[in-house]
Amino acid sequence: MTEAIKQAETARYTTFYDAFDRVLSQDAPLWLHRLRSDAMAHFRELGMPVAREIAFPLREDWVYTDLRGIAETSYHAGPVEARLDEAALAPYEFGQDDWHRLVFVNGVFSPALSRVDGLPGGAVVSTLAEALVEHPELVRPHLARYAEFERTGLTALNSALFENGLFVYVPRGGHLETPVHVHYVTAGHDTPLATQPRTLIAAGDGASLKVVESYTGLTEQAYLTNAVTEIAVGRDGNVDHYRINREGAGAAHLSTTQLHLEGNGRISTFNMCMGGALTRNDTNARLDGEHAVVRMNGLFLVTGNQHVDNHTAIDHAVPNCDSYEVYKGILEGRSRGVFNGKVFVHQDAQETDAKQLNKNLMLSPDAMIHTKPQLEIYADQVKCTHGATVGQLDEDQIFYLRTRGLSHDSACSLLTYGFAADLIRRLRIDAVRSSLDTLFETTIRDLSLARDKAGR
Amino acid sequence: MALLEIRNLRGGIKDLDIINGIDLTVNRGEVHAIMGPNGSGKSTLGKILAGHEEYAETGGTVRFHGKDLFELTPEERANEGMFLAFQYPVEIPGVSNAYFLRAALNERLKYRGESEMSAGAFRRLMNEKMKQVDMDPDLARRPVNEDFSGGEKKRNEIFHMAVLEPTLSILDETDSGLDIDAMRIVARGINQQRSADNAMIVITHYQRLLDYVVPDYVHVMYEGRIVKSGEKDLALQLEERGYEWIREEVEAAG
Repeated sequence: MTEAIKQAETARYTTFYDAFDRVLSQDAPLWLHRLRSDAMAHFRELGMPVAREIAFPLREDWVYTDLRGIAETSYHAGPVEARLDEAALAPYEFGQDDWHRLVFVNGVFSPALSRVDGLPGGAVVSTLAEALVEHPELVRPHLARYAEFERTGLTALNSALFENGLFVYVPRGGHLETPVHVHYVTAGHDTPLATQPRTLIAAGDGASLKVVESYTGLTEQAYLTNAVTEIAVGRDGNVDHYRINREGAGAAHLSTTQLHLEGNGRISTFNMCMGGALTRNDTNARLDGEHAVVRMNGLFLVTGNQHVDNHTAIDHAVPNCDSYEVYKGILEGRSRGVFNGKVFVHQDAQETDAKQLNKNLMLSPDAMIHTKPQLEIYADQVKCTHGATVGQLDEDQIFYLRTRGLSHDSACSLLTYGFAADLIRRLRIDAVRSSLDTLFETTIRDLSLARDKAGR
Repeated sequence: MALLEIRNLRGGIKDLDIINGIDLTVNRGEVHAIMGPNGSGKSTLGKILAGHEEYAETGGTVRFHGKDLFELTPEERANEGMFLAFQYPVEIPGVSNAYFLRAALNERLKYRGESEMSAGAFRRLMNEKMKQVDMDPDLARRPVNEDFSGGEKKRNEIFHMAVLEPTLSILDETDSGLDIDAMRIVARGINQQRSADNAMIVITHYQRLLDYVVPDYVHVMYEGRIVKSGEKDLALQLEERGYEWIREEVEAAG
């Protein structure tokens, strides 16, 4: 690479570098400063993963998702105060007044819109900024321990620049029955805004908790969300996790979710994506103790020129663990989808049970999906299956529904809804299940109405 | 006016005529059995009547409630009161039976210019019909036909029929794949729906269903035509003698 190009690239991220100087000047423990500096050094080295600029083998993970436009945008890097009424959030809530709720608007914590009360003994639900002051001994063992920033520029950028986010800690044997809803809202700004939400969730041995992470855009403007979430579950612990992407039409949403499971631990994660112009989710799990079980499901619905890329990786590092993964996509218009599901079964990971399924429903001839299941198995006593399908609505199903009186359009809508509902009905929090059920039902019906209007 | 009037109907799949000139009149209150050997065109007749897109009529007329059937889409036929019970009911993942039936009922009400049914009224109707056809309430909550046994799928067809209350039901080999107990339950469900206001066409290869669902008329199809019509004893004759003598009679007639 020539010096000139290198310089141009460095100039690219100027606002991020400036933001780093500002963050570093804030009062914080030395270990955190070191962590940020280390992360920033890696970001300076790696930059954003712009496909044609990165080397094999990392390039393989980015061939279908081009971040050039994002790398070249000069963002306002960092939180910006914005006023927001409770009413503006109502459509994105799950209708539960008793939930713990933390709201961040443009990266700024909003105490007025947030509430936490009635926590079980020893449990902490707070902002990460507050936890770093009040409970550094709970944060430090976990922060940046699972989401590695040495190899990925986006995680490095978040680790260097994050200013706030959700922190949940439930000690050994504790049960946080009431779900926590963290709501990262972007309300817009006069220049494109970049926020770095950081979520850290730790469940001790035998502890359980439920978290819903929402990413919502209340603006059509361009902005960037670069989120990192780390979830660690101890022995016999249980975490139920949901990620709901309803970003604005101009948004780029980049995220890494890193799951870490110890013996007999359980994490169930559901990743829903409907918003954003460009979305890239990396969801990774490491099964690090025997008899751990991870369920990793995802569902997206995209239209127009939306682009959504889901990369998942599950590491079976030890014997006797199970992983179950179902990802489904519904693509309309000229939308693009990517699914890449890696499962690594290490040499010692005998008696692994890994199931992976990716199904895609194409509602338009102009939509496109790239799907790639990728199993690498180095143990010999394992049960691993995977499957990927790409298809249209089934004519026999349509006819069957029509013979019961449904119009062709209603039949198509119902089948599309069924494709999504098949995953939604498995969700374990009633309020999330019924709210997403309604969301998909109405969105799919509106798609059909829009098609009708356009004169099919 | 007859409920269904078929005159010299021809048709089939792509360029191949499977139905070669059928005449059949069905009035309210009647049950017609259509029997015949495999490949005689029984199921094709059902699919043409219901409007399957891969099948097409190439000649003749069919009037349903006095309307030209071929001017109607499959859903219009259904909303006019036609019902096809499938030989192989289709699975609809993710959509519960109850949700689906409510959508179907509401489409019908809309078609007739009536207002939608309330959730409470729908629930009461479901409960009543489930009892009528001896259906496990759990099957109403489960996705349509998904992971249903063969018998459950057939019973579900009769359940749909009970809820939608068609004026003309075409039952395509509803007895196939059922053991004797399952068949009795399905037959009881069918008999519950019989009334002076509606009619049924029961397509079957075997006579045994007709022991339970006793037809008013029996027609025998062969090579796309109705070659013999009679009353219920014709079915017994077929059971005793098989279809070979029909073939001989047709061939003798030249």
